[in-house]
Amino acid sequence: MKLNPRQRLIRLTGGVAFVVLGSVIYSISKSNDPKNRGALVAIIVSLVGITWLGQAIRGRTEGVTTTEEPVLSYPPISAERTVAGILCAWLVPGLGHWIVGRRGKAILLFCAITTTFVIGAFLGHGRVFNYDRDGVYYLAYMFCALPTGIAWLVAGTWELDHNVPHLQLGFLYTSVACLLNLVVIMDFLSTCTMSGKGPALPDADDETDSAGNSSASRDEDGWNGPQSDYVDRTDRKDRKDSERELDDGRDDATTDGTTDGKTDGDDGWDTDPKREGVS
Amino acid sequence: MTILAASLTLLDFAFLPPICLAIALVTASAHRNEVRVIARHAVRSWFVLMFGIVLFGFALSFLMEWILPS
Repeated sequence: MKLNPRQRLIRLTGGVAFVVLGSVIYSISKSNDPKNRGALVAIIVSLVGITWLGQAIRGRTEGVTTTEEPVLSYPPISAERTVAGILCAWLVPGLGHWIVGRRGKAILLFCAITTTFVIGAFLGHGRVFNYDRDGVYYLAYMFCALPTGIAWLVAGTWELDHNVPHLQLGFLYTSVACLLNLVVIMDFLSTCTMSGKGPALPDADDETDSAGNSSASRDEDGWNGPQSDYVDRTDRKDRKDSERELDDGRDDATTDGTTDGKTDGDDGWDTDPKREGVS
Repeated sequence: MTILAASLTLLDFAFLPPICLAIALVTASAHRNEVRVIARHAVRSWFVLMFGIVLFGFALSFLMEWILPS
């Protein structure tokens, strides 16, 4: 979303205010609280401020960088699969994306989050998972169940019996990793809700679902034909990769080895004609 | 007034690159599905994040030293 000058000014002043507020909270907490429990709040407030500043500088709200990728059509993901995927994504970072076919993205997310979590655990010498001593950080840890659970089982009772020079960094890395998993869960939910609603691929064949509806009849529902007004700035190479990825996803979705894109409901392709958007 | 802020060096930000890379990868992967495209935008985000945080760190250290009583 593009921001008008008034919105940019609001984001700029609000961003500066949040960053200053976060710094003040951190300073007050560090000077008054031996456990520095306000640090997490300060970090979150500062991050919000930095995000707003970035949006104000860039003039958009889509993030630090953005690209106008054309929205590709993936097979729609059923509600049951969505719920299962959310649980899986909460348990293991990236598992939700894995079960709906985004394998490369799943591996990337898993490696990024797990590596950050492990680095934090090592920086803190494992002394960052004691719930009785540092329970406030579990507000972040709860968004990433399995790594936190394993860490708590292994090191939940370890005491601070020696000087840990990078203890606060350990808290930072582990809590940020778990909060990033929350972002991954939200992205998975967005993936599921957007699946099957975008424009069809340029080479989409005429397919007939189990109810005998030709895909040509789906034109009225917007499945075929370009809907997006995105400016396609991706390279042709990337576009071919994306087409290839969709073909791979279709191949993975079929259960009988055919590559005509037809799948049963268990694989996430909901062929129920009563489903919204299908005539 | 600026003694503390001036003592802030780039070494103090040595912890930044790994965590900024993780944040950049996860945020760049939103609404994107291709690993190559994600990686390209993540690298760009990574540099912007790191330099942005360093610059703001220096600016904030001056600001906080000015605000807080010694």
